[in-house]
Amino acid sequence: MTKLFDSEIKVMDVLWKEGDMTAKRISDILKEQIGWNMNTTYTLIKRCINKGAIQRNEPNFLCHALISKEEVQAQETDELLDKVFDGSASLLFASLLNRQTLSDADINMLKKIVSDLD
Amino acid sequence: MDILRMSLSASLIILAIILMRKCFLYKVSKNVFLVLWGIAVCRLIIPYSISSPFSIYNLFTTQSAETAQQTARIYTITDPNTLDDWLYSDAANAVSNTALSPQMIIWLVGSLACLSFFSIIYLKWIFEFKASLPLKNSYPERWLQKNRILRNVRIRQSDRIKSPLTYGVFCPVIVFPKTTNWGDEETLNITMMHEFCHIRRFDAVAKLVLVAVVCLHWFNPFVWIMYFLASRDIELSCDEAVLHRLGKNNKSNYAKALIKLEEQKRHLSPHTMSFSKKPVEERIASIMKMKKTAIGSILGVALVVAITIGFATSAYSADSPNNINSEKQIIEQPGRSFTVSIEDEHTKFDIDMSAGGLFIVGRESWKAGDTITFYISSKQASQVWLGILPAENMANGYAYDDYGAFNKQTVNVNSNVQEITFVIPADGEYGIGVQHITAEDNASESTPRAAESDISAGTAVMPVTVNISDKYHLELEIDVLFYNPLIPN
Repeated sequence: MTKLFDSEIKVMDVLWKEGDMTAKRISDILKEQIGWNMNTTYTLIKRCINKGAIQRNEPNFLCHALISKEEVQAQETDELLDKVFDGSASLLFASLLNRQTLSDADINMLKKIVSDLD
Repeated sequence: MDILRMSLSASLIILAIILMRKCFLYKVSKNVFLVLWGIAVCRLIIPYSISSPFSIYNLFTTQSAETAQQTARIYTITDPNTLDDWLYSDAANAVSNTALSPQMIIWLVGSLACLSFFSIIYLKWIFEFKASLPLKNSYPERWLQKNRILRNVRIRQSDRIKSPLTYGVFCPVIVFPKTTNWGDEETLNITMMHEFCHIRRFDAVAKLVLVAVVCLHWFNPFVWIMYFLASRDIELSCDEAVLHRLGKNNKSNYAKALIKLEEQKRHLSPHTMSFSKKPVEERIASIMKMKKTAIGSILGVALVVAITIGFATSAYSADSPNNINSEKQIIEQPGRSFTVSIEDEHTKFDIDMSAGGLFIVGRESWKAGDTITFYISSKQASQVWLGILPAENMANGYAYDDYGAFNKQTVNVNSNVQEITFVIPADGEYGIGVQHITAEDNASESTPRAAESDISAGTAVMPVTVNISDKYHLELEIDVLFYNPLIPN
C-alpha cells in the first residue's frame, strides 16, 4: 500500500471513528472540523480510493475503510524507526522515556507493557 | 511582431541588471534590484516608451538607420496583376497578411504551453495547501494574535512541504512543514516575520506578474534568468526588511535560523541540494554582509537612474517611430514596391510597379463631402486610372477582403504634376488606387461594368501597348495624411 499523507489520514480518521458513511457526510464533518471545502475532501477521498484505502459503494458514494488505524500506525512507526532510529526499536523507546512530556501515568503504562512482554 | 521588439529591447536592460547585480549585490539595498526588475517588467509588457537623448538604443538607430528602414516592413501578398483580379478573385486569395503568420502561431503555442505548465503546477500545489491541517495552540498562532493586519491570516501545517511558505493574496495562509520544530521559538519568530513581510508586500502578486511575463516572453532566455533572479531578490529583500526590524545584532541568529531550516529540508530531500545550494548561500552571505552605508544608498539611486534613463527609454532621433511625420518606409510587394513618406500633412507615394500593374493602399475613414486632391506625375508618359475605392471590409495594411467600385478618373500622366480632386460621396472607409492602363485594359473598358461609377471625362490619348515586364515609375501625392500604411498590423 502506498503511503497515506496527513490530509488523507484525516479523512480515514472520520471513517475509523464513525464507521461507513457517504462522501457527502465526510465532507460535512471535515468542513466543520477543519474548514475544507467539498472539493478538497472529495479529491482526498478519491486519492484514498486510488491508494486502496477506501472502497466506494453505491448508493450515494458510501465509503468504507479498507485499512485499519492500527495498520497505518504500524506503517508510520516503521517509517519513523527507519528514518530516525536506524531501525532500532530500543532507541525509539529510550527516546520516548527521556522525554519530559511523559506523565507518570504514561510511564506506568509503558512499564506495564514491558513487564507483560517478559 | 511587437512582442519580439519589446523582448529584444528589454534583453539589454536585463543584461545590464544582471551585471549590476553581480557587482553590487552586497553593496546596495536589495530593494534597488526590485525596482530595477520592475523597470524591466514594465519594458516587457508596456508597448509604449518615452524617448530620451541618453538612451542606449541611440547607438543602434544612428548606426543602422538606413538598414532599419530598408527592413522596416516587408509585406508579402499575392499579386493579382490587374484590378479585375483584385475585384473578382477569391477573397481568401487576396488576403494573406491578415491571417496569423507562422511566427505568431509558434509564439501563441509556446505561450499557451507555458501558461498551462505553470497553471498545472500552481493548481496542484494550491490543492495540497488547501488540504493542509490546522494548527492549534502553537507559537505561530500566538504570534499572530500580537501582529494583526487587515487581511485574515491563517496558519496551517502540511506533511507535503519542506520549508515554510505563504499562499493566497486576499486570505493569506502560512503553511509550516509538519517537521517544524515547534519548540524553537526563536526560529519560528524569524520565520513568521519573514512570511509576514511577504504578505504585507503582496509578493504573491509580484510572483504572478513574473510568471505572466515569462509566459509572454517564453522564447527569451534573459526573461527566464530574470524570473529566477527576481524571485531570489524578493527573498533577499524580505530578509533585509526583517533584519531591519530585528536589529543588526541579530544577523548571525537570523542566518543560523535559515541554515537550520535548510538542514531540515536537506535531511528530507537530498536531491534538491545541488539546486538550492546557490540561492541559500547567497541569502546567508547577503545577510551577513548587510550594512547600511551612505555610499551604498547613493550607489543604489545611481543604478536606478542609470537603468531608467539609459535603458528604459527608447532612442531619441528623427527616425523614431514616435515621429510619424517624418517616417519614411519602403514597402516591397511582388510586382511593386513603394516608399511612403509624410510631409506637411501630405502623404507621398513613390511607386515602382510593373507595366499594366495596379497599386492600391487602404484604408482611411473619410466623411461625405471631404475632398481628396491627388498630385500625380511620371517621367514615363502614359495613361492610368486614378481614384478612390470604398473599403468597408478592407483589412489593415494592404490586404482587401472586399471593396466597392473603383471611383476613378482616367488621367494622362506626364512629367508635369497634375492635380485631380475627388469628393467623397459618403461617410466610410476608403483606399486609393492607380492602375496603369494597357491597350487590353482599354479594350475591355469599352463595355463598362454596371457597378462602376466612372466619373472620368473622356479619354484623349490612346494607351500604349506595353510589355508586362516593363517597369513603370509613378509619383503620387495626396493632400491628406494617409496613416494606414504606416501603422503596423
